[in-house]
Amino acid sequence: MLGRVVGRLAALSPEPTDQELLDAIARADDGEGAFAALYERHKTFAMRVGRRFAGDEAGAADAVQEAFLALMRKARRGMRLRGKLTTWLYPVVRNHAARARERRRLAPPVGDEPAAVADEGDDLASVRGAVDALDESAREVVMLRVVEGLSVAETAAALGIAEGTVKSRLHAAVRTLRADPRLRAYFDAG
Amino acid sequence: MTDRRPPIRDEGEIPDRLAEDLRRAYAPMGRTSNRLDRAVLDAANAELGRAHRLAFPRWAVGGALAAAAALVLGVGLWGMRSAGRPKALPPVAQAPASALPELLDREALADAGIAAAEADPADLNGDGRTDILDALILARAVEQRADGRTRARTATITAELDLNGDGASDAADVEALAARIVALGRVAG
Repeated sequence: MLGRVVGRLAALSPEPTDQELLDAIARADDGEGAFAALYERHKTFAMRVGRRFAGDEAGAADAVQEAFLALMRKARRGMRLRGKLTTWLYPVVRNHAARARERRRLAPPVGDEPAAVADEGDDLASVRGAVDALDESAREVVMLRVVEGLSVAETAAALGIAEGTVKSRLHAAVRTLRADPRLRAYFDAG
Repeated sequence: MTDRRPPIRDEGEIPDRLAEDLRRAYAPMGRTSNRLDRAVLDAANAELGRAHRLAFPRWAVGGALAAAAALVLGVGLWGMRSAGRPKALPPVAQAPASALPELLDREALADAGIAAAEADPADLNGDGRTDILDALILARAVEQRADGRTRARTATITAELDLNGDGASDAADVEALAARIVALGRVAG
């Protein structure tokens, strides 16, 4: 179904921008297809953010769903992007995920969640271990700049901080990673 | 012992291989289940469906608003008219039935924009009731006469207009009529 509606949308424009898709939702001309395309384009980013901040699978899924519904409602009212859509999505998913985590903390445990990531190699486990050991503000910058590929300006917009702060946090994060013996091979290789 | 690691061009720069492994390490975190995909799209479609059902053409919305405004205005005017006019005031029974018919010349009333009554001579505005509004009509006619604005042939306000019996037909007679109407209203209430 998703492929069909995305295909219909492709006929509209070879590579519609996020803004064009948002406009299509606002005009309600193939709003379903436009929304499906937006979701397909950004769901992995949203899910990564949701998993990191929700702490469990169900909370992450709830956060993603809430964020995309909020996006659709906003799009219907006529949403104008001032940057990448990810810079809007990031704080929305993060806030929903944090609330989901808080709800889970207050609710009695219902059982262990399956691990989101399994059977990764030693190198990747080391990388994850080192990055996860960073403090939250540094880890956010590394994730957005390196994993998500946002520019300094886009990272600043997503986090609501100054570009200079992004740079200084990234410097501090890299300094910490460089000092981590698990990652010595990466920095030695230069 | 010297540090044999090569110098880093930029302290904030992450080596390419580390960046690549970072992306590989966290890529699985972005996987979504088919169940989540379906839930999100179904919820969005339901929301869009509701929006379509609630969507009206702009002209229809404008027309509905205009109709609503007209209705509110109409109800408001009707309420003001009702509030400004006592409904249950009885006829001026005490006034002699013959006292008012000739008080005002029909043309004088017409000059004042008044439709004279046919059935009840005291019902000067012809609305089927003799009440305070009729007293106001009388007051206006007296005022026009006093100002000389009433045409001579229609200015015949006879002695019968002398409701208070003071020998003159003037504002005092209007007050007498009004007082009588109010008194009757109190009795009736």
